[in-house]
Amino acid sequence: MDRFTIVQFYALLRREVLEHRNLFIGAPAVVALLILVATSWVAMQIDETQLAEGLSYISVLFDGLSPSDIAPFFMLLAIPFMLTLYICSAIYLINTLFQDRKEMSILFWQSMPVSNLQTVLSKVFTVVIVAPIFYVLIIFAMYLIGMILLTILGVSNEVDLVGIGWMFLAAIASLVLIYCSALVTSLWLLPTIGWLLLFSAFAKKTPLLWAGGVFILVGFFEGFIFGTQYLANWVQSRAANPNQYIIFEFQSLLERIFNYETLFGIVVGSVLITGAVYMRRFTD
Amino acid sequence: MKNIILKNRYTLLVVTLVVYLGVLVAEGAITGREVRVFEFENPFFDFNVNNFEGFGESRSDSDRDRDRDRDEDRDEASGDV
Repeated sequence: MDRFTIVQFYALLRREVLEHRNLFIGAPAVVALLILVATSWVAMQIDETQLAEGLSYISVLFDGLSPSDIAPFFMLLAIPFMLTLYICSAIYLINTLFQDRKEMSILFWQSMPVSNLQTVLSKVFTVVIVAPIFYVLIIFAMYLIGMILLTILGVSNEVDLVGIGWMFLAAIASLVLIYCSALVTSLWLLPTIGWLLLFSAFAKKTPLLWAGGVFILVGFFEGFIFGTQYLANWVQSRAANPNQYIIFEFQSLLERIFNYETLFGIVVGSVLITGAVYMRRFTD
Repeated sequence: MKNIILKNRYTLLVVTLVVYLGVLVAEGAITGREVRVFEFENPFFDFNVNNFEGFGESRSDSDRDRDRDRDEDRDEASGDV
């Protein structure tokens, strides 16, 4: 891969982020703001002396604890952000190729020296690699603001804040877990990513309806033609357990990526993404 | 072959879906993929998805018992009046 191709791909990624700022930057910022406002409002209802006692208790509790051991506890705060990421990613994927044709900007982009494969891969890369980075940065900003507010509270009430520093380090360590969880979930859901991109490239109207309707029809035809329900079993086995969407320890990262179910999902997702790449040539 | 597949968006979609379904059915047949069993436990009753027919039978039994009790109550009430 030469330098020009890398620069091209970087430009494509930058285009995706700039065109969808609301989904990748605005949405998590709003969630962070809501959490900060809600937490501040709850704190204002509590007496300042009790708040200082609680802060002192937390400081003693976290003092000297290993940040990597207590990082999983901060994953709970990340759940609203991860849900927001998945919803925004689904909206982005189902609309991205459809919007290019609707606005007819696809004719402009196809006149550029960029292949359909590069364009579609840039969209997959945006969802799998780039979008979680913005979410993690915004979560970090939220933790930083929270830390500053706790420090001000602690200093004004003469509370020992050493443990709060350990807590902040654990929160920072949890950011790596959050990014890894988003990455692993994206690889796990690569078939869904491929399915949404395929129908975003295919549909002339209402791509979401096409994606949902055809999925139901395919399941029906499998039962009608083969007399089996392997598609339903497969989807059920991938969607049933919420633990497969979140990582609580670094040691399980490689195991979650390099296992049969994830790798088979990547194969299926690749088939659908290939269909989306070829589908993009039809500009009508 | 390529010209047929890439003739229009509809043929391409059909081919993609055929390959997708073919891969899934082949993998399911080879590995014997089965539906996951969900067991819901609560103190009031046991509900096992595997034994759905049994659940249907026991439910119809309890419906029959409930209807019989309701008829008996109605007969007693009309007798009092």
